[in-house]
Amino acid sequence: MTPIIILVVVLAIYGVAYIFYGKRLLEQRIVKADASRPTPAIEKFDGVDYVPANKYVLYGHHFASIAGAGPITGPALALSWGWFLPLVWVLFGNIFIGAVHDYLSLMASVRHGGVSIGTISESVMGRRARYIFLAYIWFALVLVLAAFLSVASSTFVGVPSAAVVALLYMPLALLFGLLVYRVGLSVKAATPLCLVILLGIIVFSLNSGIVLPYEQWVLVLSLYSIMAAALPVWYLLQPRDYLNAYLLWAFVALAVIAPLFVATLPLTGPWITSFIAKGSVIGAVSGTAPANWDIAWFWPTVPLTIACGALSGFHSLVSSGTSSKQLANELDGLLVGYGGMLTEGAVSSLAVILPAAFVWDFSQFAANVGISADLLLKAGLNITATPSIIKISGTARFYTSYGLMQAVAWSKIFGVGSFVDLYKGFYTFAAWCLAAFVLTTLDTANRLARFAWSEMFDWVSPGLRKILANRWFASVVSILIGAVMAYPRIPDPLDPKKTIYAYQIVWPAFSGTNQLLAALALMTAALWVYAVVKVRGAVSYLIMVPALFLWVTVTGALIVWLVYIVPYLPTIYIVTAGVVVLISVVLDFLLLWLFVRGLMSARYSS
Amino acid sequence: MTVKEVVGLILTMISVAVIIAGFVVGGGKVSGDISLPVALTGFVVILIGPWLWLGEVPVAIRKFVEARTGRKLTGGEKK
Repeated sequence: MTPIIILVVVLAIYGVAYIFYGKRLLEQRIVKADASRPTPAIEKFDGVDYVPANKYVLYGHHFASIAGAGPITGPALALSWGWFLPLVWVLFGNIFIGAVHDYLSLMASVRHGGVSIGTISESVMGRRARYIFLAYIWFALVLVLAAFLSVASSTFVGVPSAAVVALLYMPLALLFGLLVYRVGLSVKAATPLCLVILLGIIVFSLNSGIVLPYEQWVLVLSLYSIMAAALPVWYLLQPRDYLNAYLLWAFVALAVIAPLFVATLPLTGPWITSFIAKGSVIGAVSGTAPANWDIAWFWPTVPLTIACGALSGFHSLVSSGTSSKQLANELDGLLVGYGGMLTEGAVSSLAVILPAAFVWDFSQFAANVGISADLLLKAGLNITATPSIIKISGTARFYTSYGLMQAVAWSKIFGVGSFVDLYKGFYTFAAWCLAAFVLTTLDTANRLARFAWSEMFDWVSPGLRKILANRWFASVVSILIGAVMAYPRIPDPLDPKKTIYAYQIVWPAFSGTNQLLAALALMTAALWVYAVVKVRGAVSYLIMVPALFLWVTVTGALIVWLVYIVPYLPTIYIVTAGVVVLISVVLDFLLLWLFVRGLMSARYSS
Repeated sequence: MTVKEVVGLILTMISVAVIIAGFVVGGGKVSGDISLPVALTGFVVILIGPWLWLGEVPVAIRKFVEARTGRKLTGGEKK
């Protein structure tokens, strides 16, 4: 197997899927998108949340928001099954589940005045479902805020130049917003101007940095997150994410170009190592016995490992939260919702899995590309001590494989003498991109938490609601709880000599809650298609069957977690993460019951 | 200009000056006591200034929405 085959197959599959599954089926036959139907961005325009956007700007904003650390860390971890199985899951999950889930959440929200998927559930599953769903969403978002505050702060501590890029993006985004929305310059004219400045920022950032301790970064980013959630979306969030998306598209474009330089060289990684990996792959806490047990069956546990790259519940919140309020035309929805998710799949398949498969066995890789072990050692990679990519853990696995593949490709132009510098440069670039992915998700997540919080309190008195739903108040509440979980270090229950961040106690439950959210959002969307849009017959099964498959898969994975992992956790984990998983399973069956009831009701009423 | 707009303009100018000064003083590396003020200015204050100065509803979007809906927007918008 060679890189060019993977590249061609992946791009061809995405192209065919976009045209036939996305455009012909979802847009034209199911949703029946109509350019003449006014969207909430027009009808409920308020200049703050409901603001129509240029479709390419919104596509960039949406893509940068949905792509957190997940499309990178998940597939990197999933390499424990070999490279082929994760690739298949990314492609299959992306096209038939993830992108469908994102697009339908977006369009259902657009047809319901821009409200979240939680509130939409009321129209098909009843009022109870709505409040259960919204509370669950809000809780999941607080966990995201805690984790991403921590990850972004740690990244800025470890890579101070990434903080410079992020900081200088602020005035650049403001400039873009002002040029387009105040001066009236077209997006086409403003974009190249800002990209030239961005290039200058990148060059400047290479030799600069902002040095701050972790705790101060948590403080700064929390305050930033409040501003990003409460300020008008056109002013910061939308232009910042749009311009940031260029950095991320450059990252994906490089991942597409690099295989062309090594097109016919063989991949060095195994197609499949095993269908069963260690429990650590599905999030069993390191240091507990299950982390070393062979309990990570590829199915049903794969969605706990690979989230964003294939499917993620968080995306339904972005689609039905920020994006649906900015869609200027229903026909823009396909590029934003379906196209955005395919682009994220390309990050996982081409920027993470393919480079890892290429460089997997370092000795064989070095022999194939004609570089020496000494050269790799100069680059900081001791292949005697670390013979394969799988021996590297965490995000460094991704930085290393991406950096190596790019360095090999570009050293064919700049000469082998530049290999070490190229490797170090692309290694840092990969870290920047991860930081960019995380930060754009962090700021959108707080805005989404504000929406969920506001929608939860429609039953209180108007006076109290005015306070609770106030955009500044609602922006502070969620991030405050997130910061309280991200800020303090507590003794590690598994090794009292070490400390961990408080949120890490609950974090192991996140993958399950997030993917359960995906299953529930897709079921809501499927029911919306059946009961509200009134699509019946074989076509409706194309949504219903993947929705039920996902529910079965995620439920199975949660039960594996509950049976094999939770009982062996230290007490503090059991009463936090364990209880969260247990509550998730209970809610899972409760919402299934509401789903079946909604389905029966729609069937008999017709 | 209203007081709010003047405050916004001053905050914007101070923010830009602090960020530039932060990088110039350290030769690109911002470290030590100056780091927190520069980070707070770059991530937070710089967002408040233009918002107070220029207001919330931009003229370009307002015109677009008015053209699509056929109704004149009132309240909240500026310019």
